[in-house]
Amino acid sequence: MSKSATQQASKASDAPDPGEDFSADLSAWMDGELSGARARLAYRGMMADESRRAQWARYHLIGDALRGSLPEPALVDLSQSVMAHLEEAPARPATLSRLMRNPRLWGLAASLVLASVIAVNPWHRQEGGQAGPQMAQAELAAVDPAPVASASNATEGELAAARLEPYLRNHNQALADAGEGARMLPYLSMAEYTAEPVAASSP
Amino acid sequence: MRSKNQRGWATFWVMMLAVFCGNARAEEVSSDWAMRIISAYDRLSYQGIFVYLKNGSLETMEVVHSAADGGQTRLVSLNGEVTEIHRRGNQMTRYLPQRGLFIEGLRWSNPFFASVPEDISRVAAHYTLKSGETDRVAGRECQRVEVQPRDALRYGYRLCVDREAALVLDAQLIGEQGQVRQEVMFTQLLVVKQIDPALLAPGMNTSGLKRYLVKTRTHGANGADARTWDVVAPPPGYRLVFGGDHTLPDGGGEQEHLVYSDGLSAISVFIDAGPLRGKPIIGQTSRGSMNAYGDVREGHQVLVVGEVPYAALKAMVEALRRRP
Repeated sequence: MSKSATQQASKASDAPDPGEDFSADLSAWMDGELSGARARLAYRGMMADESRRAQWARYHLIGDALRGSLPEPALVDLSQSVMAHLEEAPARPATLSRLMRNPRLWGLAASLVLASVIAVNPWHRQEGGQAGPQMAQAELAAVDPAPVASASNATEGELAAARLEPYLRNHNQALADAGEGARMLPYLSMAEYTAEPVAASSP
Repeated sequence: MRSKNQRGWATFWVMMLAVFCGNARAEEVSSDWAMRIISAYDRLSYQGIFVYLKNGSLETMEVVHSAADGGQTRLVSLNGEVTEIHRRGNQMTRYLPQRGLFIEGLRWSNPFFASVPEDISRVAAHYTLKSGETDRVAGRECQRVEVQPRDALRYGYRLCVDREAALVLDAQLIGEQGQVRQEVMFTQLLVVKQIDPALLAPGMNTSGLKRYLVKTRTHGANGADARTWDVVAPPPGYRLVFGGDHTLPDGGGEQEHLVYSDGLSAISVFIDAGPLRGKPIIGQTSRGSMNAYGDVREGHQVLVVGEVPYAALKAMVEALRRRP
């Protein structure tokens, strides 16, 4: 696989910059070419440093622009912002990698790498040496049959998430009813959950 | 509800202003300034893009918010599954065109810091606020603020609040070890005078989508007297703010629901009314930034959830008793 625009751009300079390795890792991570411990380090480095998170966001913006997949109702100043970032990085190549050209591959690679960064295994996470939850696969399949994704082809994690979903939704909605608001993090209660169809019923 | 939220907002932002001004006494802060910030979310219209973590993946969403007509909001996922979330008033609809459906019946709560106390001393007893440096997020100048818990029964927050528009540009949920458990950060934000109504319409043909309705039947909200269970000694600072019951979908039965809040963090305690069905949920798990802990009390499934450490969830379960 050829290097992406971001990766090549980050490797364009030979100057011994302490942030250079991170930049290379970040762009490789975005290309789906970084795995395991390096990916985790890249993620932690990004979350711990404001400028690196901004760098990540900038790379994504550039990637979106190169793929022509900027949001339809784009912000007024988005194109100017992208162009400004492009001007800051003159070494960007004219051609795109196969991954960059193919949004499906891009999404798949990103999902795989990011999933390995923070693996969440519902109902089996152990913390502080305490016993994990107990739930049998057969019983999981019997709970809340999904109208969209059937229980037969759902993973154990998906089924556990589906069982948890009504509780989380009721939590958020009770807070709304009580005038307590939902969460401290903006928009998260609306954006975070995707399994609602499992808990929803057709009228 | 609005008035309660408004009072909460007032308290929180007066506290924030005290931090901004380096002044420990909130009473000395100009009320005009406080009201300007309190009303920011009601009166501002804006478009932006924010990123957050979802199930281990970094997700990107665009938000379009109009202050007109009681407030309308549209959230659009920019990666992963095509998802749109629309809000008009307190009603929310989620469109999932790739699954050929949309979901109604979800209620909307204020996305920014609606969960704030009416009594400033309540928060001060369990959290400390520290102002940080001026920073830039999404190209906008903002003030860093740290909300640190005084014990291990709640999480802390690191915020960056737009100094001009008073919107939260970056919010991090901080775990027990100081790690970032969850983060929502704007990468683009544009405050505008008016939103084009076309930007608030679904970006898809919705005529072929199947409608689903979330059927949550809630009885006796805040009806403390009807409760059959009680948390006799909740963790310090948490007090009951909601008591009711729900009907779970697909024959899931009735469940009693208690919500406890310390003003910033909230914990829900669910007790299934009927006997155990199959193997119970026992132990801990997490979903996004939310933690959950399951146990059995007197033959009933108990599940406790909240954006709080497991220690707080377990303390709730341990203190749960059937009312005499």
